[in-house]
Amino acid sequence: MSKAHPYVGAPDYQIWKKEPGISHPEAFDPVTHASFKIQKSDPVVTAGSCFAQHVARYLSTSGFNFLVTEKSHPIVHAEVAEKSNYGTFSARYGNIYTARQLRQLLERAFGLFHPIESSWHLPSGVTIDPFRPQIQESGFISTRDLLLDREVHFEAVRNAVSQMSVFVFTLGLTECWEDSRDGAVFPLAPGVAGGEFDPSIYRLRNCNLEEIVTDLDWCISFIRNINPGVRFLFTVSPVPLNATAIDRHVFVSTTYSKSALRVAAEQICNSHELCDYFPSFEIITSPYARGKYYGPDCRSVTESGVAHVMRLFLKHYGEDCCHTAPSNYLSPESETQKYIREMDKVVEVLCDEERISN
Amino acid sequence: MVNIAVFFDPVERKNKVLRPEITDFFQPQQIFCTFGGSEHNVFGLLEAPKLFDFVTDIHNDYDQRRQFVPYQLIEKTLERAMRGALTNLSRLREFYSCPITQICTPPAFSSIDDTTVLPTVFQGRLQLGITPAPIRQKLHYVHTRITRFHCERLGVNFLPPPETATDSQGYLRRELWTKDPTHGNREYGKLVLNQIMEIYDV
Repeated sequence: MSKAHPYVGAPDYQIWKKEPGISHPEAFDPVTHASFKIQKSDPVVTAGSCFAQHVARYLSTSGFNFLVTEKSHPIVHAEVAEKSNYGTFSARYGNIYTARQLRQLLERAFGLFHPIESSWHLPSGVTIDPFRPQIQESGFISTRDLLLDREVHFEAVRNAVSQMSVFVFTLGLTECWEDSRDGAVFPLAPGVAGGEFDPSIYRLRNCNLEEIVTDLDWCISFIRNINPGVRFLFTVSPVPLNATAIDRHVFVSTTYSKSALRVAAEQICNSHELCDYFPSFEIITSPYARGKYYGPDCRSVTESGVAHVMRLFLKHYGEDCCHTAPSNYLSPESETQKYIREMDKVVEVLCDEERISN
Repeated sequence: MVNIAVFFDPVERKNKVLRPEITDFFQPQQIFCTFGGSEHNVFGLLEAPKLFDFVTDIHNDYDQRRQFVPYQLIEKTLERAMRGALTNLSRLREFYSCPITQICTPPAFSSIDDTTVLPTVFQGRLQLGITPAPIRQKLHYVHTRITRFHCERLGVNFLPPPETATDSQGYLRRELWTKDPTHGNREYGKLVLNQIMEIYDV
């Protein structure tokens, strides 16, 4: 009698009990098919939710050509620039939690969508960008300051689209807050970091599978229409929802959200060439990790979890060029930084000189 | 008779802060200080290799040929450069309970001219020229705004430049600086002293 059945001869990774991660969690590797490699010269753009920041951080120091099209002026102190989210992602769009938000960013940057809501004003006089409410610690000093910066930002987004070879996007949420007048979605509910919550204007939208797929599909087509060679890597953030606006437990909403995003990513990758799903969600949440990749708040991903994800990312998608980050990496001093350093000395000398002679 | 102390930055000011022992030497009834004051010039006295411009809450003009920098980045960077001066102001407040007044740095100059003799430290550094006056004026405004904010926070008086020291566009009048356009001359000093005597009755 034949023992043949569909699982005979299947690779070990298809069989649960043969997973090395059962005895050695750090050996867990669910990546089985990478349809492309990222070359040293390939400009990589990243975007997405909080978890995407970790991806960007690793890419920028691991030998990848992490494309940053929105850089701060060199006179700005590096610490100030970092706190203002320069280099957090390829452009200063902040966290993009939903597929709808990504789509609208592209539409806005390319002049296809002009939301009614343009700026929010705090009682202190500070101006907030509704679409990047936490992009600067202290907001903008005026509407004009915000609008001028937005022009710079949109140009950076357009440059990122036209210059990138690889786009890594981390899907984070399905829930978002929408302006009922024109459908504009905001990364944070009005009233949280700016604006006022008016229930006659703003409403909750919990995107369903069809909407997520439609938005992602639109984004891929739009980007490839401008830059046909772009390869896509989608991931789902393993970070649970911080809060749900639906009257049910936050973990139930988390499960819905991650499930819908995971299925959407699957469908999108099945229907587009050179479009992969990278299982960072699985690496962090799998039973093999035994929950160790979550911090004390049961939500934040630990550095060792991020390291596991990125080790596999480099292994499967990186060429030999790409390695873990050197700890002593320093960017070369720019001409303007050198100028600032010299001028600092000049002004000191000047002051002292004048005290003596004036 | 009023005991007055005047404080300014030590000659080698980097990392130098006032020590509490200073109260053993001075017990003034009024303190006037000129901590810092040149930090904005680091960023904007001479043109940077990469040109920049910005707007403020009262200055809307922006030169589109220059890279735009959001206001908060300018303010935070400048505030960072002013930390030494602001620390000394804070320590002075900590050591003394008498009235303290921080004197504002002189307003931005309009332009250099043929009679200007720049200090030697500028020689060889003028290839890119002097930053346009409106940008220098904005940097001075940011510097003043930061200083005023910290004065209010610390309960320190802030003395703005004398009203008569500026022209119709707000620049330091030419006759009030001599060779170095970043510092007022004796005449400017007289105006400030008169201002102090009028306001503080000393």
